[in-house]
Amino acid sequence: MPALWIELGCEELPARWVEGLARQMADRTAAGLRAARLLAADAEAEVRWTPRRLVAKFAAIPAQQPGQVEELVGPPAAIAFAADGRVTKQGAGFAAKNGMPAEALYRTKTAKGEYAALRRESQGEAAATVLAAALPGWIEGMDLPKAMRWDGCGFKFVRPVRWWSVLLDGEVVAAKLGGLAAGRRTRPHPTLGGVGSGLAVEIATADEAEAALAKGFVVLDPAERRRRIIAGIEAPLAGSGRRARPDDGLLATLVNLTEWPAVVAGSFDAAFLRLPAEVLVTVMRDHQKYFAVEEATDTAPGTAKLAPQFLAVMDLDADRDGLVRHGNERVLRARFKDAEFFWQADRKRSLASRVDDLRAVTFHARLGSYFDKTQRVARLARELAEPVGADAEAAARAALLAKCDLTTELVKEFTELQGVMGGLYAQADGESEEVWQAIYDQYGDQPRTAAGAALGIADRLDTLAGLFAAGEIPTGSRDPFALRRAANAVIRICAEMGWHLMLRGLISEALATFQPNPSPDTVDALLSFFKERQERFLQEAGFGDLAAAVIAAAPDDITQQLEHAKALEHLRAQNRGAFLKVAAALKRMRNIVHKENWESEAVNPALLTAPEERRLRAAVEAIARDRGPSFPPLRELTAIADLWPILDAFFEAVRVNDPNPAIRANRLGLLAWAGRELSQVADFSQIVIPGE
Amino acid sequence: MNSSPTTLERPATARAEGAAPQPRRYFQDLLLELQRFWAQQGCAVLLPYDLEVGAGTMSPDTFLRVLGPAPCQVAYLQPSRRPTDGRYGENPNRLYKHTQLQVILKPPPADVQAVYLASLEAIGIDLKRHDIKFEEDNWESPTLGAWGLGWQVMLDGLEITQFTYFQQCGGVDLDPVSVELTYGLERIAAFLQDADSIYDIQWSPSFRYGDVRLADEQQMSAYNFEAADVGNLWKHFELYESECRALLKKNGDEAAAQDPRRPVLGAYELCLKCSHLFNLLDARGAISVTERVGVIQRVRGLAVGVARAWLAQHEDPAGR
Repeated sequence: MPALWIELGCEELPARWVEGLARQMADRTAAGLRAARLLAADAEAEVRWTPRRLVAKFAAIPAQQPGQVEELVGPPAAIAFAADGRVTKQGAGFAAKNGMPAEALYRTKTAKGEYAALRRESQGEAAATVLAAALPGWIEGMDLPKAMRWDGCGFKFVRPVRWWSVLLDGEVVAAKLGGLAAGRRTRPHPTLGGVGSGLAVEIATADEAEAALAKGFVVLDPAERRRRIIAGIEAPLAGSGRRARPDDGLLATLVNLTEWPAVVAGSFDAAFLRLPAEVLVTVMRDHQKYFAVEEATDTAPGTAKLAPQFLAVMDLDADRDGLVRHGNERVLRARFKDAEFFWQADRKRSLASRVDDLRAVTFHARLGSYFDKTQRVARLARELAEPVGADAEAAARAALLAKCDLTTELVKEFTELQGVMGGLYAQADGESEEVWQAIYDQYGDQPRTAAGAALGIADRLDTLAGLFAAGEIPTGSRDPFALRRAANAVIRICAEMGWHLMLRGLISEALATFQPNPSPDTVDALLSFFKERQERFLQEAGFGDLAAAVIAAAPDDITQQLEHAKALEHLRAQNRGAFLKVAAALKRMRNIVHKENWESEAVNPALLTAPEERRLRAAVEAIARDRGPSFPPLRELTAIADLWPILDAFFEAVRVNDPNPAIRANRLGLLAWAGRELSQVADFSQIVIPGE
Repeated sequence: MNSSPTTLERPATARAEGAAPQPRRYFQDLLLELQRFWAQQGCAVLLPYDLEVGAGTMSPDTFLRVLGPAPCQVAYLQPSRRPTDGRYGENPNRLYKHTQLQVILKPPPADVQAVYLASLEAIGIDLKRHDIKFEEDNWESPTLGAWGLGWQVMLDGLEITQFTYFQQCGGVDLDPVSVELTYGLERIAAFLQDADSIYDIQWSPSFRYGDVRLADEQQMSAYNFEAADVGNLWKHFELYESECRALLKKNGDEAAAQDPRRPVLGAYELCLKCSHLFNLLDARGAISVTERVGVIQRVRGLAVGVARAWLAQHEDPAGR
């Protein structure tokens, strides 16, 4: 069976999309081939790509579609055949329409009854013919992140498509894409393969294509380019006691930016090491796409002291004259000098002196300036910090200074360093460690200090409250202000710190600065937004099916939810039988109360006629009485689980719907009260019981 | 002459070991060679536009010529002013006014990338000894209602050219599409001469870049950041804006719209004035972030109006 080679040749595709595009092209082609009976269900394409080409290769596809027998079902047999078995006019018409004689009609049984049918055998077409007709459509149907036009051909793609080669073994498939005919010519590396569009590499057969490209300085396989880059990074540092800072994202980008990668090592003046490492690494990694080099000590990779060296990946075979190294060193020096200039210029003023400048920086058109935000967040951070024993002064101070780096030259230039730079400037200004670290950590979700946690939570709550008040509520995939991420971070920080924060109160407080009387709708919208995030958080923590139960019991307090979920999980593991029985009984309890819409929890002991009722009341009272700091959630849950015989006996012996309305009311009150008392740690009735 | 700005460090410029000696390529050689190259490719070499612009794109030779169906191959130098980029001549890599070579290819030839690479060879860059990458960079000018997709071309880690397939200009979808190449000439010259400061670039045998331009950078930075009168800038902005609007107002029928004397170019100059005044106000810190969007919209409104009026004026009833 012949091999199939499909290469779509483009001007440089964006590094962030090229892999996805290659996979999509291969998947769509494979699906198309399968539908055309040209690919086994379990066969896959080999997917390859470089910045300038997307390739799908199939090791073997049939040269010819297998023949096929189809049954064409026509009119019901009673219409197509007369009583004497002869074909009717309608029957003959159906046969003629399909180009077959009336005698070919036969009867076939279907689910709907007996029908007239025809059998059509088809030969199957040559794979080349099928491909020529269908392949362009598979490619044109790709879902593109951003499409462009480049000429009048009408075909749009991510970047201009300049050639394509499609070979079935040694034969070119005569497919056309927007006027561009497939051929056997591909293009070599744009500079190493010679400069000019006329230069082409001829592909003899599909199986030889990859080797032919290799001669043209193209490593088609991204895994091989990755290996080359990794080897290139390791070689110049071997034995130096230094190592490249691991950076998978950067590595992937460079694999997708090169066709023939090689590494060049450069160095910079060690005097620049006086600048914060964060700045140096940002320049090297984000702006220049270099790997930073660090002194390999026993610290974890990515944390050791930087060395005055870098590693650049070029799309070139070798830097024979040192020109590439020299050029990159020049650029880096200029960049570092810029950064140094900004750092020194910014240091002429303290962060604290910049607070007023924030009046000119808008946070959101309807929510005022960053100055306003800073004031709100400082207040909220202080209030939040006090009850949990965090340093409220430090939190408020950090909040006040947190956004000042927005006015610094360095952050205007390197926006991705916002927060981090604020922390570094605060440190240089002599702010306390608690304060500068809080500022530094404000955009992450693992603050090192309690003040940082208070700031991180307060800042995000303010943003959430403000934007919800302004009507900027995320919908579906639209979340331009990343509010989901903000809420996730609030939850994670709370849980990490083990803080019992009362969400509803905090939200109302944060909202009160935007709405004098916070509208209950906005509070509810925010709470239900948080509830979704809490569910997700608990799910990720491994408590997916218990989330609803613990959130219902403590909707305000994520730390408590987490503690309760752990206790509940423990109980389930220890005593699954009791857990399930209690859950079922409490669900039954809730259903009765809900069905009657019963609200009163009034219970008159004198009306508790059955001993089972009295026993239930006594047991629940005992649990309510024991509840307190010395009665941890697991003990309470265990006590509840131990109630199952009492609950079972109650439902066995007691009829809630007593003919005497007073007794009936008393029993409903008992259930409402007991149900609430037994749901303080977890609302068992929200637990889905398997097999229910 | 030859007075080195004392504020600058003068790093030792060491040519890489083993590098072949190259003939000195002065800044003026670079300007001449690139223009000659594109002339040989069939471009008309035009003149820089004689108003303040932030980029070669804003010259009517790009902004208006990319509109409509008429083919257009032009190249021109364009000094480009960006007030906020000024550094009083003290930063070795930043300029308030830099020099672009702008090339418009409409429609672009299918081998446009190869032709571009050949232009680098024409100025002495040996492509087999340097690392060239085309990295995604999508360009957008909100004030011009223009955007395109393309790359920044990187030479040994240095961005030397913006390479853009223009998709829209003045809010109008372009058909045919134009390729716009914008070379940053100071950067390329510094690279070719291995100068660590732009001001050290040798412009000609007798002039350094600093001799020609340092005073401009020092004084215009002072003007842009400190001296420009904010009240007057706003007044100028409003005057130019209202005059531009008045010119763009429809007066009469289709024939009037197609009148070749209708001063659409006059309106465009007023729009460019507004754009530059916006940049000056920005440099003076006189535009808050909130206002910003609104002012950009106002300039964009003018640019879109000009583009429409230009198309109406040049609409060919015969459909040629």
